[in-house]
Amino acid sequence: MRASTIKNNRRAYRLLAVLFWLAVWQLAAVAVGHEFLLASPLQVFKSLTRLLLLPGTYGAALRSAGRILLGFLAGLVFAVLLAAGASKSTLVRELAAPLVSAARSVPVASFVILAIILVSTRWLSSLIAFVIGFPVIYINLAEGLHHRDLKLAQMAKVFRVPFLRRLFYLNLPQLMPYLRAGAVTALGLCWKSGVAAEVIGIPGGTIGEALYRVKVNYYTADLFAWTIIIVALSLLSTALIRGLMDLGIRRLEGL
Amino acid sequence: MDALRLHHVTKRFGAQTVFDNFSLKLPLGRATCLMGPSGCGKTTLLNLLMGLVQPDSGSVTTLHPQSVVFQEDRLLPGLSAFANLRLVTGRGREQELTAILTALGLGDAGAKPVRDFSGGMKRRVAIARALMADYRLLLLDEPFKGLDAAARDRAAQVIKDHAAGSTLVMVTHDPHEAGLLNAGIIHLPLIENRQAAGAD
Repeated sequence: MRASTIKNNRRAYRLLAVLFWLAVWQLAAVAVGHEFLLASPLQVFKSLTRLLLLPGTYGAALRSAGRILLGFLAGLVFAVLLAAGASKSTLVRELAAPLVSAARSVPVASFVILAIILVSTRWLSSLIAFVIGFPVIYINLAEGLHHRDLKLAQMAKVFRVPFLRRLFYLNLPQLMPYLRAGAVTALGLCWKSGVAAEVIGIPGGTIGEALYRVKVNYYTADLFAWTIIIVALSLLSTALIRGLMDLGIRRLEGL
Repeated sequence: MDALRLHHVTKRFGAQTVFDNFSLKLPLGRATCLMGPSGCGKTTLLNLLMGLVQPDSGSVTTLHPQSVVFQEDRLLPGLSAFANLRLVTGRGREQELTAILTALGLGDAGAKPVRDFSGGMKRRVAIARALMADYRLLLLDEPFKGLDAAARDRAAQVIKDHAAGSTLVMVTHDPHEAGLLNAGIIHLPLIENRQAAGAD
């Protein structure tokens, strides 16, 4: 069978699977019989269309996305610096270990409540995205540093290769795939935890506030519509980060 | 004056002792070939000279700067031959780089990624890199591994021309290769047979 035929078949199966689950959803909505408890796909589509025509939706999406991405980027920078420090110093590595463990295991809700007490709810999602994102990136980078080719590092040492050349030619090409994997995973988690934090902290004009209103009004059509918007934003930002990292990897490979 | 001096060096890797109270000195500006059976510590000796391993006791005094052809090529596969050389030399020596690659029979391949090279071509890039670096002590760990006879003789001539006046230490299993570089030979026996090979 030709490759294009197999690909077309796969697409057809995937479309059928989506249609199947939409049908299940529709039947479940009919069985529940109340759109506030379980909206049908059509009602969600209507809600989504209505939300997309409201200027406030874009303001909320931009505000939440900006703050979550800010927290993610701060986490990325912090994780890179921490991993670099940990690779050079046992003290830094030992100091980082409990911090990373705590950030990974403490529930998001605990961090959110602490953050509400300590900082303004406005920057809540940034702070939570930072706390949730940096350990994931740090652990991936630490793994990459652990698997670095030590023979190449020895070569660079004997030939006295300057720091910047070592960074761009030796270290970054080896670490970028680990950084990319960590960043992509972390960004997805940042979106989930960032929006959850906004729902608890209810900062004005954000996706979290909109979701909180949905919760108060028990209107699942809007809940699903906002969820679709969040997933779309998460996928879009992940694709952007992945694209930038891939570009970086290609540039480094082509140096 | 000695180019390098190992003074009562002991080196163990776990339970295996590679050098036990071993001493060696080599004269400045000469080529020396270290020969011996596998496991006698030839590569460890080069690593001690490069500071890549430290002796458990004793001292190592050696010339700097150093350059090396490692036992493995240790090239960056995504980079071209030129870029692998530039990693060590920096920019601004393009004519020299072209000349050395041409001398080694790689004149047309310099701009291609090393990952596309055969084993012998990679070996010659590793030799070119070692010769283009600044050095007073050139260390060669089986530098002609994977080269056919013609390429080996050509590479040996390039090394001899380029490294004239420098101190050169080569590890090999082949006495003919020592002859190609006009190198004196030191045999390193296995440790159980070693009492004073090349000793003070």
